[in-house]
Amino acid sequence: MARMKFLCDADRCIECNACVTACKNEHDVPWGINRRRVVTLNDGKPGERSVSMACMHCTDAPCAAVCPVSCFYTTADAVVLHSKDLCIGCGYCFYACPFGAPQYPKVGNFGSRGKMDKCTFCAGGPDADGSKEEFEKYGNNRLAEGKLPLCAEMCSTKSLLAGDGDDHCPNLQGTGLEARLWLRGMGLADCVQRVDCDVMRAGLCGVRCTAGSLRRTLEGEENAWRNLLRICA
Amino acid sequence: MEGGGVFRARFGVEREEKRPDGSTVKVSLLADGSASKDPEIKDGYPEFTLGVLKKLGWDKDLTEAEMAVINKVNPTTPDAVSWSLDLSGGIQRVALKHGCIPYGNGKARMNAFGLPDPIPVHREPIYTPRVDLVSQYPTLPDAKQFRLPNIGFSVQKAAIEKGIAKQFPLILSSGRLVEYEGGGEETRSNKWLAELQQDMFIEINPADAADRGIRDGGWVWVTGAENSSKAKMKALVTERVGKGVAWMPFHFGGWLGGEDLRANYPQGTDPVVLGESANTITSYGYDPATGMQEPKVTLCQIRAA
Repeated sequence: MARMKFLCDADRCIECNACVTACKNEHDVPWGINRRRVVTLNDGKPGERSVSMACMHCTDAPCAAVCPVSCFYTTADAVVLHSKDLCIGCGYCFYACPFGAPQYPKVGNFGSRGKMDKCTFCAGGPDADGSKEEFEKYGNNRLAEGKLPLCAEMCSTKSLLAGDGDDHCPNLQGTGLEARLWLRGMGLADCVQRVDCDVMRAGLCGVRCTAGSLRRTLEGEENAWRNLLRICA
Repeated sequence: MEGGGVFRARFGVEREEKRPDGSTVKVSLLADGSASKDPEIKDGYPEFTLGVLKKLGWDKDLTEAEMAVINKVNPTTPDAVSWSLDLSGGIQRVALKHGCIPYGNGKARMNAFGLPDPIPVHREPIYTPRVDLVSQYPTLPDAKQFRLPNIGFSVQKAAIEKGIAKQFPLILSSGRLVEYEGGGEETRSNKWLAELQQDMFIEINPADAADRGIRDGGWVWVTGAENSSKAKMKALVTERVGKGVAWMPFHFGGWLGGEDLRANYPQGTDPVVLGESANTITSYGYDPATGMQEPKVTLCQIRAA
């Protein structure tokens, strides 16, 4: 049981498109279908920012709400998947999705749509884990092998992270997604309150600072803190 | 080696320098009082050869097998065999054993004697929009380099006489895209990468684009300062380049003068995407020390196609 999430830090993304290429190569995604893409805002201007976007695996997924054939389902790991055996390619989910995740192959004349394709959090689909059918329809099932999505694993700046959003990082085990998220976005005090870690709480509670000064504080301190730094790096 | 190495004694051990009064003085090119961590020679030293080892009395540390290889490398004068020629690796091993770096311990040089500009100076490019600066900062005189003539000076002079800067008012530079490598032949053949950059393009400032009626994503003709060169590509209108400057990637090929030459590739070897080559437009101009071409600065004109 987990609540799998992507996080893309726009301050770190360098628009290298390695996540896009990793995804296409891993799942053999055809030309013209983009399960993941890098969106750049203010291109060429001061304040330019890039962010890597794919299906965000919503808790209350709008795509599932509008689907007329109920082809969507949420796994025990809170990954939103769909069945290509049920999908009729109507395109409703494309309009419902706030992230532009659903993609459709063009099949035949007059621009008619094929069955929807989207990011699976590298978790395949309803077919048997690791089966040939599953790969052909949905790509590799890395999650079933205990691996995280390849896009995030490949990210050279660790801008794109994937992991369990419910992992409160006790004893700094697991993916540490929440610790990374809070350290980067919210500063120290919030991070300490959120991360269940005695040694951090003892030393740092109530101090507001940036991730940079936290880093300096942690350097040269106890091993547990070093471990946290390693996870956050 | 613990603590890292030293500056390589790369340019000899000694150099004759002229003094202002016309006399000459010999200057050591070896390190003065600096060395790596805990060496047996605490000062500068030349690169290690068998001869150097003998002078230090360290040659007795070489094994018989290493000595045999050194004698085989140069049977007539084995003393001249250096660490870089010694296939046994023995000279390196012995030098390191005594805490010394095999390639010697020299000074870093700021004055690159032997090069046309021992200390870099500004020189206007062959095709420059600032023709007024050329008399003060001309390119190097014509000379023979790497067995070939480099007539950059004559080309620069002719360009000014012909008024090239008036006909081609935009500064053109070129560079890389993250998706492709070099000329792009291999990386453009990779469908995952090719999908991310499907067209050859030129970046142009919105002000310059507006003057020329060029729209973002529209086709343009780019013309270069030499040989009536022309290339057809898409325009990327962006503030990333300043007014009066244009930029294009150099990873494309397979088009020439607006013509797609895909049919000329041997079967099965054509990359996924083709486009005009930036080299069609870039200029004469070679670095005198390395022979590297000048892909970064030239002049061009752009018009809507």
